[in-house]
Amino acid sequence: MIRRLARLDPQVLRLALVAVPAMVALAGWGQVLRPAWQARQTAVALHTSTQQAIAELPARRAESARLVKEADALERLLEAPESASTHLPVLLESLAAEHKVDLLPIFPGRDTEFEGLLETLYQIEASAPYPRLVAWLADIDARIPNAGINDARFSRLAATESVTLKLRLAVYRRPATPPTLPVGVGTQGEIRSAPVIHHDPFRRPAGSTTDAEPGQPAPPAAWQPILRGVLLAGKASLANVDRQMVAIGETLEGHRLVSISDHRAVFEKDGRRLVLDMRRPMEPRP
Amino acid sequence: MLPLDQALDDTLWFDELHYARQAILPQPGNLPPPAEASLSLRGKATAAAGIGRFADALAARGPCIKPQLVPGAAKHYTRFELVEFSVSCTLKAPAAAGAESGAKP
Repeated sequence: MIRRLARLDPQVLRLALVAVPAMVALAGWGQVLRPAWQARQTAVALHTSTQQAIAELPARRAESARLVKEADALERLLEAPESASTHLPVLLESLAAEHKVDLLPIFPGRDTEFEGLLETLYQIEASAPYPRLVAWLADIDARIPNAGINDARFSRLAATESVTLKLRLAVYRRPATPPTLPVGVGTQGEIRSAPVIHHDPFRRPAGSTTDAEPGQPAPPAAWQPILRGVLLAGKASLANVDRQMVAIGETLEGHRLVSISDHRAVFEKDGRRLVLDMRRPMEPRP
Repeated sequence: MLPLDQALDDTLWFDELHYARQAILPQPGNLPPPAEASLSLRGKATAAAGIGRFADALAARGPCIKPQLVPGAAKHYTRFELVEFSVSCTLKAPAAAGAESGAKP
């Protein structure tokens, strides 16, 4: 054997000496070392994530307890006696009376049941100035948290500042849960303060009553003066309004005359300016 | 209501305001509908520029996503002129709009 090896080319022998250990090392890495290394990496990752989960356990327990409480509170809302179909109209009417909202009689409408939740739709019709309706809705929102507005249509009544509200209110309850507590205004929760709104968008500006069709004379406004003439004399200027002479600073029908210029007299009331023009009799100015 | 109030000024007023929301509970056999609400307004303004400002304010500070503004006819009265308008839009999700409750406008 040794004689045969001695007869081999030394170069082949050197190559064999390098190649055989390399092949053994490669086979060992693929079959043994790499799977073992991967298994170790997996074990390290598992260990880290387990430690992290253990560290987060108290926080998760607290979160779970908070969610259970929240679910209980929501569940109680679904059982709120005030939102029962026998009691809700009474509550809505008492809130309407508080806010001086005129309310037509309310009757429960169609019921829809889905996975243990019952939705009852109420068709409600009310009328009042817009700010009162908004305050009333805010109270409904606060007092009946298991209700939601599905549809609300505000329409201004012609020639008045009153607004009609057609409301479709959906109330969510557990099916067949009779009320257990007596109903009454102020028996549950705290009422949020009414929203502070700064505009009544259904109130038309003074001097722009416009329910008449174009081309037709508009219905009479509260004060529709006609400027017939001006007498310019500096601070002593005078305006002839509805055949009445008015000096700067004087008041006519609650409107104070603030300035007179060519063809024009400017009155002011409650921060609103009313410009009378001999060429264009009256023009509303914001 | 409050974002709408913030977008208003005194140069326009409404004849009608309509808020509508999809029903939350699905009809039997159907999937729950997406929570979506819409607002449409119809009114008059003393100046067309005021309507544009209002529509911009509805999108910027108010509850609307891309309000669609439809200017109406200008009506000429004996003493003034009014522009009719209508605006409609989809309402932002409550969190995005900063509203207090998803169920209320």
